[in-house]
Amino acid sequence: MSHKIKYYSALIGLILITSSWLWINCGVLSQTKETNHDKLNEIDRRISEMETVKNKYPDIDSQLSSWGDYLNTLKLQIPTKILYMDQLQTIRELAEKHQIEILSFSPDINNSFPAIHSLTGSIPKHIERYPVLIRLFGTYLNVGAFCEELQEIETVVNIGNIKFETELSRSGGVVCHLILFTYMFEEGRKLSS
Amino acid sequence: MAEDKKKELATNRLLDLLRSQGEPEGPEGKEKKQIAIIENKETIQEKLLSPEKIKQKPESEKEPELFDTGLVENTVDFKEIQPKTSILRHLLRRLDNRKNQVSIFVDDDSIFMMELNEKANKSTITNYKKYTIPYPKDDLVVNDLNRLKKQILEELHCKNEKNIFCSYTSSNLLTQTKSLTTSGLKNKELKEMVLWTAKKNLSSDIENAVVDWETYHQKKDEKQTITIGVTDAKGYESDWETFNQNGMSLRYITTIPYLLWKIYKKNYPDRRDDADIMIHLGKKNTIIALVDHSRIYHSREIPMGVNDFIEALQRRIVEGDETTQMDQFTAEKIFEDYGFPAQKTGLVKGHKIRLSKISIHLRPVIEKLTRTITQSLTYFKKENQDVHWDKLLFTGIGASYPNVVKTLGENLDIPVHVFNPNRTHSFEYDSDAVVEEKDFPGFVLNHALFLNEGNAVNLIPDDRKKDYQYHFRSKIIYGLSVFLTPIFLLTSGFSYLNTKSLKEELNVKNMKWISASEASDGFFEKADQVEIWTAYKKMMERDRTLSKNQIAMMKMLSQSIPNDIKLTRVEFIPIKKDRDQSDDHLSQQKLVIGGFVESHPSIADIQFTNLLMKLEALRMFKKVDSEIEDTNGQENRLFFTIRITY
Repeated sequence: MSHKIKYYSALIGLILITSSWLWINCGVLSQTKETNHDKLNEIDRRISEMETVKNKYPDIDSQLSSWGDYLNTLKLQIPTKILYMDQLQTIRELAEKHQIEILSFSPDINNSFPAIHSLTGSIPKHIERYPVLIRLFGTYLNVGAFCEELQEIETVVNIGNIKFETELSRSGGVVCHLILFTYMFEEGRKLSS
Repeated sequence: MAEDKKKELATNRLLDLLRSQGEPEGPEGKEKKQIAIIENKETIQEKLLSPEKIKQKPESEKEPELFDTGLVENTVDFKEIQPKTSILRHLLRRLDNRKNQVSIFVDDDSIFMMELNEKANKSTITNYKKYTIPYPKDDLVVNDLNRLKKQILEELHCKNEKNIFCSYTSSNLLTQTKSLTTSGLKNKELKEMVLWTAKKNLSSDIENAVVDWETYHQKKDEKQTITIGVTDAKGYESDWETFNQNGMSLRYITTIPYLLWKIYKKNYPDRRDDADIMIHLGKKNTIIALVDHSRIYHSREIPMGVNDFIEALQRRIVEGDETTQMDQFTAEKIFEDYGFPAQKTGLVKGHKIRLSKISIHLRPVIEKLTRTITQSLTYFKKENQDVHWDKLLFTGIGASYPNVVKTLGENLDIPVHVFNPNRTHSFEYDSDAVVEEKDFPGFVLNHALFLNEGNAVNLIPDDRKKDYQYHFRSKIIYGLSVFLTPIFLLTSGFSYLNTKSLKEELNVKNMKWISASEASDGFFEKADQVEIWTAYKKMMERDRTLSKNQIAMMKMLSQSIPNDIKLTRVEFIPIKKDRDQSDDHLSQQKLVIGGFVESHPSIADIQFTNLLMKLEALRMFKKVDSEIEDTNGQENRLFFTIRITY
């Protein structure tokens, strides 16, 4: 074997040894060490946190229990996915009752509640808020009465925004742009963002 | 036949008489006659076997001194000349696989071999030997030079298992050595010039020529001297094969003048500004070179050497009625023992030949050699009138024969010295390999071949030379690997142990956390859940509040607006405070009311002002702003916009 081949073989060998060493020490082991350090710090933090909140254990249980009662009540006021359409129907019927013409009715399919779940991952029970955009035509007083009565129905509906306008093409009333907040109770499903 | 023999004897006598013409017939001449008479009476055998007789020999019959040690420059004349020991140099040489070195110099039918061992801080010559064909080996006699080379290499290979660094030169190689002086040449130009010079000087085909050169700057401002060596690659092809076949790496081949220059430079650091003549008296050739520290001015090869002396001795010698015809072996032995006899009296040991006869036979050769050397010196002087030399330094096997150098010196009338290749003590000798003074001249080139470092003129083929350069580099890489691998292993091991202990600590802490978490019965999960539900509750309460507020505002407007004021626009606008507070803006709104007062301009302002006062009197709002707009040609209508912040 010529010296040239020997030289290049040795050189490649040395480069491989050095790069392996760098990869192992500065790459793999260093990263593992860093990750383990972070984990260790996190565990230490949690353990120390746990030490400080040890006396709050009974409180949290009682709070969770009272929340359970609240949720049970809320479950009656907020429709599930199955009953949600009934709620929309109720809104339509109420508008008719107050002699209000529904010009357009557009439920939004996106949950408009902030993504709280990102803090904790998934929770077994949660509430989602879906805005409904409605365009109505009626007298100012009828619309006001409609809005007032909306708040009194069994399921929770809130008024997000109201805007009245008069239109020259229509007389005898005002056009109202209404954003309603409707809610849906979800159980056992992961939160959507 | 008898008549022919008589004629031959007569002719020889005549020749002897002619040769002895000019010899002074002083007291020595008389003694010669006396000795001749004594010798006729006693046999040589008797002389050799009778020690008493030897003791009783008269002064004139004593054996002549074999080697004139006084001529060898074996003393250092300058105290400053100290052997330079550089550990780095020795280390580098060892890395270049030069731990064991062999130098081989072939001079006609003789091979001079010398072994060197590189130690931590010194170079030690461990063995040296001269081989001449016919060379007896076991029960056989080696008569072929190539066979002898093979034999030597086999012996060396058996002795040293590992590859030996071999350097080689031969008087049989066709070589040329030239020195040039140039200034400011770039590498490419320099190469072109060297190749052109080589082509011009080498008689063989340039395609087979191997060319190498060395540049030298004595001082920075001075021109550079280029010493070029050229040889015909075909000339050493068979030698190359012989070395390879015996597992030896032939790594250095160079020319004899170059070696003479190198060894001169090495051994005469005290003669930086002077020039000297180096004369290599070989077996069949004599090389004369005018050198100084910067260059070889001239080098000439004379086709005369030791063989001419031997041949002269092989001619018939007539002693009285006896004629002696020596064979080559005997002639060589006699020349080796007596050289050019200083004493003119006495007999050659074991022969009936007087020493004066030997002198008579050798004198024409000495004179011819003197003439030739004189011619060369005259030529050198003519060519380089500014260069002066004050002595001749002799090397080569010819210089090791007794009285040869001295006689040449006397004839040339110039101080002469036998060159000492270890004048600066660059080499040490093993106790069983101390080179005797009489062997120094023969082994000068072997010493010189060991000085084969740096930018030496090396005439091995370029591809092999480059390949050997890789050898040194690969050794460096191996060295680095050997140095770095344990460090890598140790640091990796420590790092691994560290990571492992950290992982174990993490496991312990994790277990502690799990057990603590079990004890807390999912406290944090519950806390998170409570936090989320609290957030939901707050958001729903805020929605409800917002809703109620808007309805309340609508009610307020229906009660507060008089019949003369007509509303065309009612709009709740969320006040955006900050993008990050995504839903908080809902808690604060602005109510924008647009409309007109349908009255005569004189009272419309009053009615509008009353409305504003009424709104402000409610004390429910943070701010009430109003704006009167252009009537747009409708004089009985006062258009306005009110912005209420609550």
